[in-house]
Amino acid sequence: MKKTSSNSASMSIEDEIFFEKHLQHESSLSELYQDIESPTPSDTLDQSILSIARKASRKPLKQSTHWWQQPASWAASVAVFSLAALLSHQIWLTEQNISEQDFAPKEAIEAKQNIEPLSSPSDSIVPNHAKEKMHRRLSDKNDSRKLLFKSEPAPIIPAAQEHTLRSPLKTLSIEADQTHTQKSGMDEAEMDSEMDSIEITIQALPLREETVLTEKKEQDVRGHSSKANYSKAQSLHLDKIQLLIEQGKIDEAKELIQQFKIKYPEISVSPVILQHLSPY
Amino acid sequence: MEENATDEQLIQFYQKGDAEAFEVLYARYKSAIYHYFFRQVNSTGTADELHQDVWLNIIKSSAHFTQQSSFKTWLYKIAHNRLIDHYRQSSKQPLYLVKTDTQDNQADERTETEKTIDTSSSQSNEPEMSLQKQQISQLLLKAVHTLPEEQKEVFLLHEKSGLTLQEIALVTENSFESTKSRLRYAVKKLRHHMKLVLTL
Repeated sequence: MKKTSSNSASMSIEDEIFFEKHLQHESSLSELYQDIESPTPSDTLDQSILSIARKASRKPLKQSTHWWQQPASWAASVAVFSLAALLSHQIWLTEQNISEQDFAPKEAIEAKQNIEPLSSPSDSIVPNHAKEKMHRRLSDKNDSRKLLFKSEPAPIIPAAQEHTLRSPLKTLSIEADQTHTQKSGMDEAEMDSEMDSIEITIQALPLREETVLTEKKEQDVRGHSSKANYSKAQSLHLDKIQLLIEQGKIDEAKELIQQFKIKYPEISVSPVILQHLSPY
Repeated sequence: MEENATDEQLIQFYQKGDAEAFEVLYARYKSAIYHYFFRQVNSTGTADELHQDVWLNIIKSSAHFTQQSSFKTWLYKIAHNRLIDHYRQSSKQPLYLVKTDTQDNQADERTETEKTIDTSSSQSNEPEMSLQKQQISQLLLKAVHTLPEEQKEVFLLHEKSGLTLQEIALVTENSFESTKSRLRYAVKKLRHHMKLVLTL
């Protein structure tokens, strides 16, 4: 609103007194104005306003625009979240304790139970063709050596023991050689031939890596003793030749020398012995 | 209980869903608000519209009313803002912008008042004093109508709505001194208009 040009006439004392009375609603002007009949709104206008007010009061007036400021909803949301967290924790715990049998289908469990007796075929009820099939599967795919190696950590092998790094089949053949020699007391040539056959049969056998490794250790001990026996046999052989020469049995001594050369080609015969056998 | 409750208590009850509290409030202020609008715009239709708008605004924004301020001041501030919007929307210029020469108007009205007094005195023999009173009231209303808008608003708010000068200053967003000055000039003009009728 713009300011109007006010009356420039200065206020007289009478005007001031009149104004002071008017401020107290005691002036004749005030009385006259109060007597004037005031206009009032129509009844329809009153009813329309009041009906709107009644309708508005039925609706819950928003005390707060933010849901989280209301304590009830806050408490409810906290309860829901804590319940969800508890349930998820329990589910996690049960999942941790669950075994293969709890979730695997029945057929798979039964099949597994049927496979296990196949390792001892004598007490199996499964038909023969099924047995063979399962046995083939076991030998091909489920290699017991690998399973054992996975389930148990491999033994620590010292780097200095070079012989332990050899092929398990080879070491096993050495071991078989020595045991065979000790037990039967056969000739060296026979022993060699038998060694080959034993080695072939051993190669066909599926061996557990664990047993192979333990056998390696045993062979390390036995290897030293076999070398000693080998040199002992040489000296015995040579002593026998020496004895036959001394007894004058030259022909027999020659035969033994021939055998010695064949058996131990890498060892040279002493020239003293050869001098006795020479015709010149 | 609600009849004796303060305005602030009543609006609080209404905030909680008590529709009767609003009815009491409306009964208290409906005449004053309507009178405020009617004397300003001098039209029943426009006064109805402005009156309805103000009360609908009160209903809508009652939730936002804080108990720190007076309900009466809040109500009249809404009414004052609505009146300013009305003046802005309407192409009609306020009356005080048209009538700049107040001296001439005062002279014309004075003669009219004198005529009325003369008529009433000539009719003094007749027992119908109410008619004379009514004519004097009409003269006063005419004089109020000629007041500048600012002075008229202050006069109406002080006289009919019962607001103090501090409250009027709050509603109109003016200083206390300027409010008092406006009222002083308004009273002086009206007194001069009604000089022959009014006594000290």
